[in-house]
Amino acid sequence: MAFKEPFQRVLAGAQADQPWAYERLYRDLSPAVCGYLRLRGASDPEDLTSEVFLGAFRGIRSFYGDEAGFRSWVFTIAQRRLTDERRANGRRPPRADEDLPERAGGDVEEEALRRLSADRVRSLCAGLAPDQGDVLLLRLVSGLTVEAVAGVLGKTEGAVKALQRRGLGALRRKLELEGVPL
Amino acid sequence: MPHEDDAFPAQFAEEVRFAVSGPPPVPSPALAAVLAGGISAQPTAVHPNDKGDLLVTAASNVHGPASQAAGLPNWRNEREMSVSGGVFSGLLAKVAGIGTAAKAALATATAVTTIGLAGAAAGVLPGPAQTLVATAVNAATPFQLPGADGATGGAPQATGPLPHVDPPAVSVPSIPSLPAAPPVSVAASAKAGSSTASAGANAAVSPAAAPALPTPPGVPTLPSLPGLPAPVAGLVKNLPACVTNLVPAAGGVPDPAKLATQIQACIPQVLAAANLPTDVAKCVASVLGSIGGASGMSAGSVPGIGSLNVSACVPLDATKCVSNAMGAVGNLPGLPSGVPGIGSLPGLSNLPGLSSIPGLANVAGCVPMDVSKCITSITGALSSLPASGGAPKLDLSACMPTGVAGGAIPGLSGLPGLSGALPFFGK
Repeated sequence: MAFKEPFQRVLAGAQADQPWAYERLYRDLSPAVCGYLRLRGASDPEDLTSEVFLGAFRGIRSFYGDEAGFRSWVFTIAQRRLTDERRANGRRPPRADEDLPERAGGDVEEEALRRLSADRVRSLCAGLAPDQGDVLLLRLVSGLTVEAVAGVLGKTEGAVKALQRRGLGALRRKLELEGVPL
Repeated sequence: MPHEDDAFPAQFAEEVRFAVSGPPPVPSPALAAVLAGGISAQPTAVHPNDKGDLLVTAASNVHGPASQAAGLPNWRNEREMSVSGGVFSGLLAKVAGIGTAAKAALATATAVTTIGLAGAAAGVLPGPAQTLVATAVNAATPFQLPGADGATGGAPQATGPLPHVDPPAVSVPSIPSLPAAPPVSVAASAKAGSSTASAGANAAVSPAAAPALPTPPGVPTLPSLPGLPAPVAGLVKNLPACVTNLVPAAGGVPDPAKLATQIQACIPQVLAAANLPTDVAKCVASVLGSIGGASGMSAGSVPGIGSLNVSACVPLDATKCVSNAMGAVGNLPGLPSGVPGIGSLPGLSNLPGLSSIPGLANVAGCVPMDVSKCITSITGALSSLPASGGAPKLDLSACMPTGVAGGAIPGLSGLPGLSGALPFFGK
């Protein structure tokens, strides 16, 4: 997920409203953001990913920091969009097209297997508390530290560590019941 | 040093990383414009409710709002959009203007479509019937049904003796970005892009399969209904009364909400008349339940086949099955690596809901079908690729579950008059 070019150069390009810099940031970060949103049950992860990056690009002139900080900032926006969507879905009945199929990618077999993996992850996370699932997936998908995840979720480091520990414990118990070697 | 309990289970971590891998998602039109031209090239976004600051304070607000004459304001009831508000209002305008005979024929068509749609959505109708119904439904409605070979949106094939009827004018919503067509074409083209776009595309490319809607008043260019075959017209007297009562014989404009309720209540009666087997009835109930749960039928809220729970209909994990079959094809000796076109068939990875069949996720996925016959069929098509780069004929019928594709539904032929109207039923 590391940028192929010096991040500061890409950031400077984006802050100067250079399309190539936007494209580079989107290409490097959007798969992880979209994957996270999909695994956390966003109704339209691709559309939500676009909203996340639109918000990030519109406010990128106010951003100062390194690559890890930028990743943390983008995932913070994604988490807030996800929270907004969860609240909205809580106020209205679920839409019938929530499970609309995603666009086909280039490799059918890869896409099919990826979909199976996503289903598997969702089923494993289904037994966890929502906060626990957020912490575990943010750690794995974004590669953020506990401190950064705490910033994304608006929690303290201690709370994130506790959520992670309890979530991993529940996950292990579930996998042990299935006979999966840990 | 990290605590031992902080280590992620290897399998879970691997599954997560694989699930989020892959190419970047397709950006929305707004983001695509930013990626192409930058933020500054975009028009200033103004919230639709943002009317800006008032230059001066309105006089009526200087001393606060006016006193309420009748207490608190009456909040408008928040009601879920009903199906009746979208499609039915348009249909009713047409229904109101047609004659009694045409109404009777319309009722017949409704009944036949009800049974056909239920069976077609389940993917269990006999091949020609599946193709006919799926093509008609795909062209005329936002729903996407699988064709005879399991793919959606297939071109019409053998469709029996039904007459050719020119389609009515169907307004097709604009399609923002359809994926590029695959370099090869199969016997029934796979579904491309989202269900909304696919529905629009089907309506555009296969107009001959559009259903026979009655002629709206004042549109002389559209054909009228007398062209329907006699067996279809003869169905009317044998159908449940709820079907014939859908359209008032005395004329007048039915209430949209009432008509929607009538149709919903009538579907079980028609299904009961068809005497479907328990498994098929369960499947049909599942599909109809999904369709009935759709909130509105506008282009923005079109429920795709992805919202249908077909786990009650298909006894196999088709996603994994296709994946295994494709993997097997790629490993066959003698075939060039990277056979063009197979990897880019749109829609194969979009088989929705099938991978979520409880308990079947870890099965090979192809248990009820003849795997070797299926692979032989695919490899046969690949080995006969024309040197000129033309399209091979890929027959996936061998990949259907054993006993489903070829056979008729027991009991369906017992519906009076149906076998006469659609000769392929019951054979």
